[in-house]
Amino acid sequence: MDSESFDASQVESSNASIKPHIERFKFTGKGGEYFGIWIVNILLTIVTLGIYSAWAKVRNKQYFYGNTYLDGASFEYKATPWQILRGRLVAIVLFAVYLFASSFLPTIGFILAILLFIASPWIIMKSLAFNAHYSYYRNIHFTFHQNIVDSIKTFLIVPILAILPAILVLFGTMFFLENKGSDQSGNIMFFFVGYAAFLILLFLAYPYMVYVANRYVVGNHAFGNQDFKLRLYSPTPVFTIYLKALGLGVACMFLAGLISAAVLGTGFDFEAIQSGNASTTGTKGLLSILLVYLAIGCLYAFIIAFVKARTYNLIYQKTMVGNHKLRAKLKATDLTMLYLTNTLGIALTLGLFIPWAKVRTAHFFANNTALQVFGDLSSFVATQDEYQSAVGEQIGEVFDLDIAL
Amino acid sequence: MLTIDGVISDGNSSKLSPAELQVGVDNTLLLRTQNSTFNLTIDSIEPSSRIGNSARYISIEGHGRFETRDNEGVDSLLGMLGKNTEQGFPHKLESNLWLIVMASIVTIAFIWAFSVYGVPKAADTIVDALPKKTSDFIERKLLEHLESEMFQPSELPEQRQQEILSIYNGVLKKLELDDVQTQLKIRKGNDDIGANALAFPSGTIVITDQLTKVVTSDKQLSGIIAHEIGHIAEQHSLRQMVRGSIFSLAIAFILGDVSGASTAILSAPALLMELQYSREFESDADGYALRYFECDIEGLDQMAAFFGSFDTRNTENLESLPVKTEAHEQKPEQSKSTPGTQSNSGTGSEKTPKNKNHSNLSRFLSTHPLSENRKQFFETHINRHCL
Repeated sequence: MDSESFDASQVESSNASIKPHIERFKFTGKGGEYFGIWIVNILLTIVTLGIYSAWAKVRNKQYFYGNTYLDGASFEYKATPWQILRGRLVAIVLFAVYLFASSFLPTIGFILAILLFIASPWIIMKSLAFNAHYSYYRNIHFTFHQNIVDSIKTFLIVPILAILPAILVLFGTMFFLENKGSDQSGNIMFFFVGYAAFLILLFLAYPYMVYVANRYVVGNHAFGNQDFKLRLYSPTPVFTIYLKALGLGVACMFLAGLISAAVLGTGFDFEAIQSGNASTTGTKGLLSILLVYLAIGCLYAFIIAFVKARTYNLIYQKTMVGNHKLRAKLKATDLTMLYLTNTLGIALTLGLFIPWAKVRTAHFFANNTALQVFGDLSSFVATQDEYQSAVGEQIGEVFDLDIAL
Repeated sequence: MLTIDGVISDGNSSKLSPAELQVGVDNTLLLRTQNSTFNLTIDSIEPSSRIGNSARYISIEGHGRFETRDNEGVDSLLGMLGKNTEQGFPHKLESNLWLIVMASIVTIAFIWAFSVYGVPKAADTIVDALPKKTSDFIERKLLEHLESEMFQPSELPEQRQQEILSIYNGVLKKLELDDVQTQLKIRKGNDDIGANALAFPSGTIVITDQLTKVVTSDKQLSGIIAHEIGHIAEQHSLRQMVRGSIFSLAIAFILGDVSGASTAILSAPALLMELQYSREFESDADGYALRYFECDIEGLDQMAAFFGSFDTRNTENLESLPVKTEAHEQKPEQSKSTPGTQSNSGTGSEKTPKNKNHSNLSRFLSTHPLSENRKQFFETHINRHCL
């Protein structure tokens, strides 16, 4: 890891007299140490029939915050387990209702899912606000400006509008085909063109949603009295990342197709494998199909890592806190290795590797993130405190409504 | 004398200043900053709980927050002042090697016991408490869906349908299940359903035309019907649904944020467990077929032959037939909730490979016990009880 890409001269300084310097994030946690915390958390959660899970959550977060350093000071998570527990109880009751309703009465489950979708802007906003409010650095807390209108725009209206063209094309195609009658082979062509257009529009919608969500989430954060700014004013760079990933994906699919064809050409019976009837194929065939799947899995992991790393870099590079500037230089290949080794470790140890996986991930992200500091970090001023409820945050957590940015 | 190095910030701004906490010989507590020294009372400090070797914070009334990495120092300081010993309790557990090993074992044992005994018990309690209306409703919805998507009216001759109905009535009568209400429907299944028998939550049994053609005798048919009646008498499909829900809920609750693992990894054990429950139910239902046959050795033999036939038939002549020999019954919720697993695990279960190396994997991945084991189940019964 060299520090070249954190080169301070890259930024155009408005105040030429102050020379910026780079402060790297540092993570000091250790896998073995965290294993003890993790397993005791699970044990006590079980023994207390789940009640300790609130304490577990807080201790987990505190471990990761308290081991993350920037410029000689750590981050601190100050929410209390009691707050979490209260929020969690409400969320669990809702989740149980949802789970049972949807397995017994599919229609009610469907209605609840729609209600959840409608409530998601509020839930996400509350969740971000809670987390920011109890996150401290240098004894000053972060803030998330709660703007419900923007949240609705970001998480409800934009997704619907972005997906709408794709849906319209799909319905248009089907409507056209139905009324035209099925006399020609041209219909099939038309169907494929319509369907391809649908997929392309759907694919284009997602990067735009990512862009809007990042603008909302980053732009509404503040540390002390200084707002975060995301200086990304066009979705084009996000589109570029996803288009490259698509290119990679298509190339991989092509490759996988070639390999499968080669394997199939040697008299390989897929169906026999799937139905568990391998008597005709033997171990050799099974091994080669396994290798093909493995290769596809690795390529798939690389594509995910590519999108994650590039998006992370883009967003962090464009984020400012006051007049300090964030920097990130994740490498997709390194992240792929991290994902693959973590997955392998977790699978081979039946989950006991999870603490090490989490610590390794935290290390990786901290090592590749830095803050370009103008002057020093002591000029942030604390803002007014107000109580934040954990209910929204916990609903988001229990229903898995995380927004992965 | 004990000195702890750290930094202090007043909470008004992000300014950090170096500071020291010091305990003197007579247990006096001092805070030294760059410019001055303060005498502190023991009650004015509030330490954070120790978590591994992550940063430690001490709130000091009137001065702000002291931050240090010297965890050992803070622990000694608190010990000397006799303050807040109970807040270090979790850390004592978390850093004790024996306890960690014990915790690992207890946790694994608990998760096992919970899955094998706890979930079924809880599910049974819930299922017993559910009103009949619930299962009626689910069955109606499922049937509506299947009738429109997968079933067509039976194409068997009227006379054959009547015969099957009377076989069914015979089985029902012999099993003497007074409080169980069931009814039989015969339908032609589409290719996905194939030769199949299904038991629905509220008592309806559907067998497909294809099944009646795959069986080689009416004895086999009665055994299969007895098996389905077993599913209904034991409310298997409802139990499977509730068990699935409880298991997912519990996993999400316990491992949710302790693990940080992705949902995909967490749902694997849930799926495996559901399959395990499903296989238990199948074996239970086979018990009803036994009850029906008692020591009718011919019938038991035929059941054994039915399961035994899956091996040879698939590889030899049945592949060319349009009828797929699928799982001879598929519980409705599987076709509902996990459409992806239906065809794979369903077929895998009955098309048992002769290849023994392979059976280890399919044992864990199928909704039904291996046909070979089910064949043995009937054969063993003859040997043990009927000779």
